[in-house]
Amino acid sequence: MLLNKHGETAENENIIIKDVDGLTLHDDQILPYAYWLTQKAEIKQKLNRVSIWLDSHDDIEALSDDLSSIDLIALNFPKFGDGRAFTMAHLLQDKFGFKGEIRAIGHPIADQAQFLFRCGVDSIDIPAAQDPAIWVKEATRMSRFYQRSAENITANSKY
Amino acid sequence: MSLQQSIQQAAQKEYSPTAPAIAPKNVQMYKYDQFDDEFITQRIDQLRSQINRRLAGELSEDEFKPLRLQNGVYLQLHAYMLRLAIPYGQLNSTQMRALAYIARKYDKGFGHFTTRQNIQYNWPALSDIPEILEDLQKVEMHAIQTSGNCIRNTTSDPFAGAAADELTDPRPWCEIIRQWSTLHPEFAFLPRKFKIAVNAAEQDRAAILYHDVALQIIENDQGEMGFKVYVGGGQGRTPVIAKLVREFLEPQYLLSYLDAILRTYNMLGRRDNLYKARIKITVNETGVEEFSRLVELEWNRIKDTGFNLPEEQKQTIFKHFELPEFELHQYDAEKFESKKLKNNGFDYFVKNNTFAHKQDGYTIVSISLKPHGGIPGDISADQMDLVAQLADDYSLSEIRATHRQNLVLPHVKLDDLFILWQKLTKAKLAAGNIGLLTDIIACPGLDYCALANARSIPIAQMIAEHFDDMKKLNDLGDITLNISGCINACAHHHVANIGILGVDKKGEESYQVTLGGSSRSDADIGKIVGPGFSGDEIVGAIETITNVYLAGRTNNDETFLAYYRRAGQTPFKEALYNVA
Repeated sequence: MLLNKHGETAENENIIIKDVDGLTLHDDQILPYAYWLTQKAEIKQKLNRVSIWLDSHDDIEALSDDLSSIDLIALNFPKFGDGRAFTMAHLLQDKFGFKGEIRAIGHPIADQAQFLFRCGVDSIDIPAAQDPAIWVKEATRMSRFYQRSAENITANSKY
Repeated sequence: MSLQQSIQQAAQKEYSPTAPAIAPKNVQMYKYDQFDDEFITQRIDQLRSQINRRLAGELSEDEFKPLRLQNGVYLQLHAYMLRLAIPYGQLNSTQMRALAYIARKYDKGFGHFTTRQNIQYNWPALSDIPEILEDLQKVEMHAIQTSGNCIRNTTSDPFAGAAADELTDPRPWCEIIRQWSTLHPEFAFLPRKFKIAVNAAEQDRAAILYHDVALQIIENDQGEMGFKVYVGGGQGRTPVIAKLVREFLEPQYLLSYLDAILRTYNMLGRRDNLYKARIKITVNETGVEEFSRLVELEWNRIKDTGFNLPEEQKQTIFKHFELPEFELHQYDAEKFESKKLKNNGFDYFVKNNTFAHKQDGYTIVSISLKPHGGIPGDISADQMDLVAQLADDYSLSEIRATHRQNLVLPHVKLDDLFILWQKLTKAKLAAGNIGLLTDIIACPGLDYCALANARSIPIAQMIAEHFDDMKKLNDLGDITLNISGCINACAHHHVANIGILGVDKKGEESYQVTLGGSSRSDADIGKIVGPGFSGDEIVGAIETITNVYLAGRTNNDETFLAYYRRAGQTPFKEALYNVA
């Protein structure tokens, strides 16, 4: 199930691909970053909608030239304590001007939801077996912020 | 008894259930506005729901841990521990009374001031914590980010805004950093904890070079104020002195520059090894030139488009810290001197526990929380109430906590000093040992802490009992002695002139001694002098070390550290281990 920054949920139509052996490309797949790097031309040619996922140690700078041909970038939390995705989301949007969807996948926890949205993440893939109600609540938990949100928006922020 | 009732009773005011907890008048500190108050309410609601989810088993201890930690809740040997934030060490008297109330109601009548200018309670029940935080909110305090892998409480000079030797008041800058770092969405899950310290005085009383980021406020050749920025200091297992990354940062860029440092660290910091995750390791492994190049690169990208506090809002924060109205008065110097002559204790107190104030006729008074044989940093609820009362009567209702685990009354009239000393004496708070050998920093050690390998507090008590002659202590003069109960170095043993580290050696406590450390602007890391000592031997070893110094110094003006830097370890080794 997906969650957005308004605390709304939606069915997740995407499939995260980890093993590319014998893969038949399809628009609803989220492809591994390494696979994208080697098969760019074919992927761009075959798909109408390109989605890839990055692990927290992947080099986001190397992606900057390709961003206009990518529709969705998913940032993986190998474990919730690995907070690189917060900065990666910021850089994607603020430094590289990525206009597509940014998604958090893997193992984030509900209490990180609002932080993620404020760093520029558009959707979170709620980990299976977790109660979506808690995520919905946490998505809009705070309405007072000492920082501006992604894109420098000042709504509800002190400055 | 409610918090308000308790505060009003302690302040000897008539209790009125509708009156707000009495805010002391005209205290020069940041005061919450409606935004800040609503923010705290929401944060407490969140923690309450997290605690309920944990108690209901919906959150694993693993998942709960970073959440409780970011709200100051630790799980210790015997119980949960709660660490409250005292932003840059500043308190008003009402807040001190609230701390006393919490100590009585939720703890065993004590609080413990830490080396981070914070206070800890060792015995709260987990289920009481939201209620404690609601009480704190009423006096404009919280426990946010006093732990966890996030930006911690910003620390500073405990004499800020009062010291004669400061260039400017660092507190408004600390407050700007506090607000910027509070629940910063990008930096709540860093590789490791992150500590920022600011100093604007000539003397460094905040050990800033042992912080992840150290900001020294300076004036450039054109007379403009700015920050000298150091990165990558720290203690723990690997003590490192912070390295200079920028000679002069224009103040309007403070927040974008901090964003650039934190962002660079968040991406580069190691996440494969807890003990190599601090920024000091990142800087060492990346190289300071390369690290600062990356920071500058990111900063140049965001310095004009990213967030910097607008001037108008900066001014609003600065207004909170405008200097109080000092009373112009001529103090009676003759009377003062005669009181010193008649009272040895008062003489020592004036000599060691006061510091030059920027206003004539005033002084800064340190209250030692290292009484003879006491527990360093510990204070009873009754003593807290008394300190609050003394602050109201003699220090414009202001109190500070220091990184050496003492308290400060920052604005005391010299004419009031004698009566203040008498009242402190009655409450056993008049130890005149600030900056002397028995002004010991000690961690909780094996008596409380889940990480410790050895006892710290009892060793501190044994040393204080052995060195109980004020004349001798004053003769030894300026010496720092810190005791950590494990290699995590919470008591900063590496940076003490005499450092003691308790380790576990085949099931026995062993105390390793380091010499020559300093946490001031002449920062240095102490070196191990030789094999460790048992708990029974350590006091004798310290006695030997001090005797070597007394015998070897050229004159009384040569401090212990100066002597050590001249003579090296050899005379100490010879005396301690009988080697020729």
